[in-house]
Amino acid sequence: MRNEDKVVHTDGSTPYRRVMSASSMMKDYVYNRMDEEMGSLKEIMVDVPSGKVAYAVLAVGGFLGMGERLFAIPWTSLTLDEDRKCFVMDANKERFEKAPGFDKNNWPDMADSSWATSISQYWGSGVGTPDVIERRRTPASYGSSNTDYGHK
Amino acid sequence: MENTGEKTISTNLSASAHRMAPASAMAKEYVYNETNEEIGSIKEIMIDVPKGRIAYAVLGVGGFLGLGEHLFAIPWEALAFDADRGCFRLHASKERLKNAPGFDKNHWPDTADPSWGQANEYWGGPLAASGVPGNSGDDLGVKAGRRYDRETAGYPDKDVDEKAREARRAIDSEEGPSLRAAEQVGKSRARD
Repeated sequence: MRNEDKVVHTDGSTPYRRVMSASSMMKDYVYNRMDEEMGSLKEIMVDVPSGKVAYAVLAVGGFLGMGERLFAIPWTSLTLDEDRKCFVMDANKERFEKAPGFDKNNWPDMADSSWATSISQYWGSGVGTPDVIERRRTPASYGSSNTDYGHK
Repeated sequence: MENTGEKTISTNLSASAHRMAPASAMAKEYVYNETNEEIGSIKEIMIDVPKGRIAYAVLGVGGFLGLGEHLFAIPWEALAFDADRGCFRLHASKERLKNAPGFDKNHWPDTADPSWGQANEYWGGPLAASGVPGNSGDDLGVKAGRRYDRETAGYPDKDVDEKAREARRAIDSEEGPSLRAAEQVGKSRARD
């Protein structure tokens, strides 16, 4: 798996960019493989010493009348779709209903190891430490989709 | 910064567990040098999306040439977070910045661009050009024993204004008294 598979970019008229400003990605929509809107990108959480991106915080609305909830998901579970200026992930709304989330006024301590464990257990990856994020970047980590985006 | 010391300067060990920070909050921090001169502030955090790591920070420096703000791409490894003062530190005199490769606001470099390689080299970054296939910089910056702590980790500063407004609205409602504390929290976080 090439790193480039993390970014979908088929429009030859625009340059392929792998480096994006954090602020430009904020509020980007997140869709699943069936083009259902999951939510939008609320924040990017960085492990400061290593500079690794640990989590994307998604704002997901419309839950059983609860309004908007926030979910931290491993950065590795997102694919950036440059063609459509959005992110894509393998999930559906039901998956979020049971996911560990939080209120926008009550952010968890994301450096807490038990919190990190709960996230990695739910989303099925060992996130929390930078080296584990790297290890997860293997074909198996997002090879579950059959979608062909026509990489160059 | 010689890239050998700890990434974080901190004497507050009780907070050392905090190492996760929201990108939007870091993009507002001031940057000082060793002699406590304010160099500028972080304008933007640039993310290498496929690698899932910070490519570089955009440092905004205003004034010294009398031409408004200048932007510099600074390798993340050249910056250290000072948790005691809540700012970043960069080993650079203003003189050194004058000679540093800057770039245009409308053309922020990709890590595959030659201009980034130039900036990275100037600041002593270990990466020549991380965007070049095969030249992986994945191990850079990951050093055991580094600590990060930040009282406000996990609390995006960009929401402060929004929170303050929410709190104000809430205080006018019947739930007001119980929510007064929330406003105080918001104010104390809005340090600029």
